[in-house]
Amino acid sequence: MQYTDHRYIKSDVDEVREPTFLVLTALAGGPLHGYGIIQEAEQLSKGRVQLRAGTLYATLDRLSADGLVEEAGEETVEGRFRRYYRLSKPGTALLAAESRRRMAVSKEAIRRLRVLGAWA
Amino acid sequence: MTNRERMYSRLLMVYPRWYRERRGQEINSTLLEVAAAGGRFSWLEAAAIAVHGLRVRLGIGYERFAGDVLSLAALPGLMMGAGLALTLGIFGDWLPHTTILASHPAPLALQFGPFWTIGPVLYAVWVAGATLAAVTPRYQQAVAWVCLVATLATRLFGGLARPPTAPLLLLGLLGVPAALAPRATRSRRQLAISVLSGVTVMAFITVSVAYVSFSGGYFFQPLYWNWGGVAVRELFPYMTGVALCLAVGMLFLGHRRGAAALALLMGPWLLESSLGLRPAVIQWYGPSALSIVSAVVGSAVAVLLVTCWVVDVRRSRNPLTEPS
Repeated sequence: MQYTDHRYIKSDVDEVREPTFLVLTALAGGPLHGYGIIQEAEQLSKGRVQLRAGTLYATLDRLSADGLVEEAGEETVEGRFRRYYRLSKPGTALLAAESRRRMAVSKEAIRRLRVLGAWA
Repeated sequence: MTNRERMYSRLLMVYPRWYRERRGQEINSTLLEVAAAGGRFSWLEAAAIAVHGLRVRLGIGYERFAGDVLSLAALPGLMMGAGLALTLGIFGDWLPHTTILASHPAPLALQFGPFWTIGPVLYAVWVAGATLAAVTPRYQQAVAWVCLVATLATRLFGGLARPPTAPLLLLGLLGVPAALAPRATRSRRQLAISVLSGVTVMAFITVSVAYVSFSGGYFFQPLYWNWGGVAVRELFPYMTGVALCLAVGMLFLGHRRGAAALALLMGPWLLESSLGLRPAVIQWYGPSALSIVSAVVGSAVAVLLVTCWVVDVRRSRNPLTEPS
């Protein structure tokens, strides 16, 4: 069973944690393999989030099971096996919804900070 | 093969073979690439892999039968615990034990302001924890572990009056699904069912206490004092009986995981009722028919759930394309 039903997606929108959001955002730039996702997540978070392999593959298992991420090929580079992942359509929709939600909160935060005179 | 590669290969043994066949090379490559970039492998990295590997090996990961059942039972379990904690706080630690207290020794006398035991601290943790888990699902697992540790700590407290072991065991077991659940998403229906579960527990115990209290000529006494003996525990089989009938109905309607989650949540109550078969209790009150029924039904339910779990774990081959 794939959790692509809108009810599950909707419930997940409220629960996109930082590492999941970073993985989805990383994959929005195109297919990536495990280490590529770790690097992208670190860059996107300005070094704040360093995904561990255990966490990454648990996240990928969950996102794959939910139908939010899908495999996009395999290759072996310098003797190392790589499997690539990409966003699926529901994954793209989830990322868009979460991004909109975060942007709305940020805009409101900036508006309030401006009122306080604390936003340069 | 370098030492590092050997170390990573050994580390990946924590995963079951079918998962290693599927993902082993890939994870190994990722670990080696991370190491080549800066060598930031750490014990935390190993711990994260160990936890993930154990989850996969035990079949309590995403999209597995046991994982889904634990996820469904998680919040209702915490809410049941909160409901139980509230009623224990009221009947066990706040309302006066009028008939029996005067004859009891000091450790059971009033110790903590208006309360008899250290229990209310634990109960507050449970109620606050369940509320936080309901409002902010991302904290559900952490909250469950805090509740479990607090329950264990209360049990281990020496020199202070504390609630009896039996209700503490019940509380602890109700928190286990949330502590192990791989997923903590929340829909309105899940929230409503969870709150209803907590309220049902509170209502059931309150009615039971009233029934036992007044029919036995006692006043607000039996829940705390007789928990280890007869009284309220004898009425648990009725509650679990109704719930298990509901589970059978859900099974017929095709809600296999929901039925299993309900049966799982009834386990602690059946176990609690089965404790009436302890030799010390039998010596005083004799073997209770309801305790025997609880033990038989509880064992059957446990065997059924474990069988489903084992079958699902054995059938696992690919976590991504072949969920049960």
